[in-house]
Amino acid sequence: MLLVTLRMPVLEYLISQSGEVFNPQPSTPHSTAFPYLNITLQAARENLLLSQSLRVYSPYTFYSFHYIFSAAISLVVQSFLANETTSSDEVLISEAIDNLKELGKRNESAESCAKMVRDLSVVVANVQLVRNGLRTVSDFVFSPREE
Amino acid sequence: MGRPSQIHDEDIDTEPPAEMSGFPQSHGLHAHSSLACVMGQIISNVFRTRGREDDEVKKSIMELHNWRDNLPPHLRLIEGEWRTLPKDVLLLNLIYNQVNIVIGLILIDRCFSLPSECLCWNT
Repeated sequence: MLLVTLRMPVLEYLISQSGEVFNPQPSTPHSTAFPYLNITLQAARENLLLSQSLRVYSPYTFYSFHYIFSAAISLVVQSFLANETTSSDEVLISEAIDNLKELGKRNESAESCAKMVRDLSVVVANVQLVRNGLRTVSDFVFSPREE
Repeated sequence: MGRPSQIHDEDIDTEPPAEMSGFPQSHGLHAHSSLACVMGQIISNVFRTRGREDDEVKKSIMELHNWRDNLPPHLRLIEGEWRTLPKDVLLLNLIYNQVNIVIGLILIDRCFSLPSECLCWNT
């Protein structure tokens, strides 16, 4: 339900920003044009760190993967934009994928969440390569090879 | 979070938790229940797909930030001391952040018009 609710606004925003996604130095920083970015980013970072602290108390509860997934998706979506996320965010996303995979051993939904975050991360990584001039759009990869 | 509210606040006649001698402090319970009330407003005013009014969206977001600003110090996150904080404090702040994340993703295409007073972020 949440994903269905989120899908359209996120897609609409990404499409509206498509002209800027490949621009390494957008004329107006996205967080200036859209101040709620900073609030959302900060909340996502904090929740990924909080979920690590909460795992000590209850490693396999529902909220563990639900909150990890929302925060990770939020960070990944905003990684589409130039200069908004940092390398430490990439570490947080990578840890989130590992945690979701671990939870996915006991919960099919968590496994799907891990795959979705991982797939979207691959698209973001390719956008970043194109943005940095290291790859052309024709070489774009949309999904990782199956492990 | 994400589904419409089944019970509205105005249909609840139970008083919010209060302090009583001989019982544990109710600050945490009160914070959870008041956050639930704010979440109910956000579900009604922000998550709706049709007929969303900007004024109601702004008011709901302001309520959320007011909730955070009025949180007692012992229920706030303390930088560098998360490992020692009790579970309910971590969970309370986790839920608050989750609400912000979902609002951000839902309004990502239309937050340009939100006024600055909706964007205060007191840590």
